[in-house]
Amino acid sequence: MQFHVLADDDGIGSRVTSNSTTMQRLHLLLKTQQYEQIGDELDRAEMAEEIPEFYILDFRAILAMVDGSELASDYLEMAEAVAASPRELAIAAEHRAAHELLRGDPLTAAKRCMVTLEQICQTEGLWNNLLIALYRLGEVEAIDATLRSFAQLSEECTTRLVRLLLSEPDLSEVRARPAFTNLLGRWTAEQAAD
Amino acid sequence: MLELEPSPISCKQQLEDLLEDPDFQKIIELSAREVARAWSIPYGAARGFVLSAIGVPETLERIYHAWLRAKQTGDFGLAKLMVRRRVIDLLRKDARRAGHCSSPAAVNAVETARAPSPFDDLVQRDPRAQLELQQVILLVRAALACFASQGRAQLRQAQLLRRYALDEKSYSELAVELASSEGALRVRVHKAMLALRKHIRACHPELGELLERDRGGLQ
Repeated sequence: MQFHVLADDDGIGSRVTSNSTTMQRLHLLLKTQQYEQIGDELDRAEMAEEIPEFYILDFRAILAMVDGSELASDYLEMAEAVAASPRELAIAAEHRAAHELLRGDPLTAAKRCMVTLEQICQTEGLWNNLLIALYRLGEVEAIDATLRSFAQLSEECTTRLVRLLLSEPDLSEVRARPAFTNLLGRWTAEQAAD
Repeated sequence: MLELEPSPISCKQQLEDLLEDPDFQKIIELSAREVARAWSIPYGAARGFVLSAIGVPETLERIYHAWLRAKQTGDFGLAKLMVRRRVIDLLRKDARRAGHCSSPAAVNAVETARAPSPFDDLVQRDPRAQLELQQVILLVRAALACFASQGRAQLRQAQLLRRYALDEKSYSELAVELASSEGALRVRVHKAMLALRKHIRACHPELGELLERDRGGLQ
């Protein structure tokens, strides 16, 4: 499973405004799986108050998940408590769902993703985790319905989502579904037309 | 800001109640791991630091009530955040004065030997020893604040210890300041030390262990 942290640039309600350079560095380290360096960077950024507490807690939750530590849930609980925008709440929910998937609880993960997608905010990470959860639950029809619903998303959203789904190692079976093939075909055609 | 009703439970009892809760233990563990990593110190010492950081009576009171509320709602995020923020604030405080070197005499707050010693030389030369020293000072200050809140007699004793051990005033200076004989002051300082040690054993066991480890025994 991949972890994504989408920075909410407006930083609504945050005690500290996001330092984009630090966030970019953290994203790069996360992408390249340099977890030890993420820890060092978080230590430094937190002391210097360079990025909002939400992102500090969220990144620390990811590190705890990578370590297989149960402390991940505590970090996520705290991240939720300081989340100051729907976007941040969605990111926290995304990572709580990821943690539930890691703990072998796809049902709770699926419910969390659905509630957040419906009531709070949509992120590609939530859709991604929902598909993984549905796949693990063996809910093939729900997977197809979810993939078909992507047709209603904007082109930009579809692009981000398809790219993510294509790179997600846990979704190889989902990518083999006819609904995904259709989605990919449409997206490829749109890309070619642009 | 909301004023909290003074709790009828002592800070010692509050801490004991909190530590019985596995969820609270977890947030202490989380914070201690961060401190251990940030300061490169053993987990046990870091845990002691965390407990002393939240052991300041007003802080503990707020955390205790927040935890009780969280137990009712099942939402512990904010209560956990309070614990972690307190620890982070102290880490930040330490980071801001990273270049500052406290006098080694201050660490001997629980003893009277203040003359330069081989330990002092080691501390002066070793940055890590300086850092550990600062941490112990922070813990002692927090314990002293807690001790002072226990009653009027303890408040007076804590003030005396602050002047003597932390501000490094000599008996002759204190004798003038407090209009007392040096002999009487020695007795008062000795009694205050004994009372503080007793309080540390009861309310800040981790600090007690730390001091015991560093000094080869809390007499």
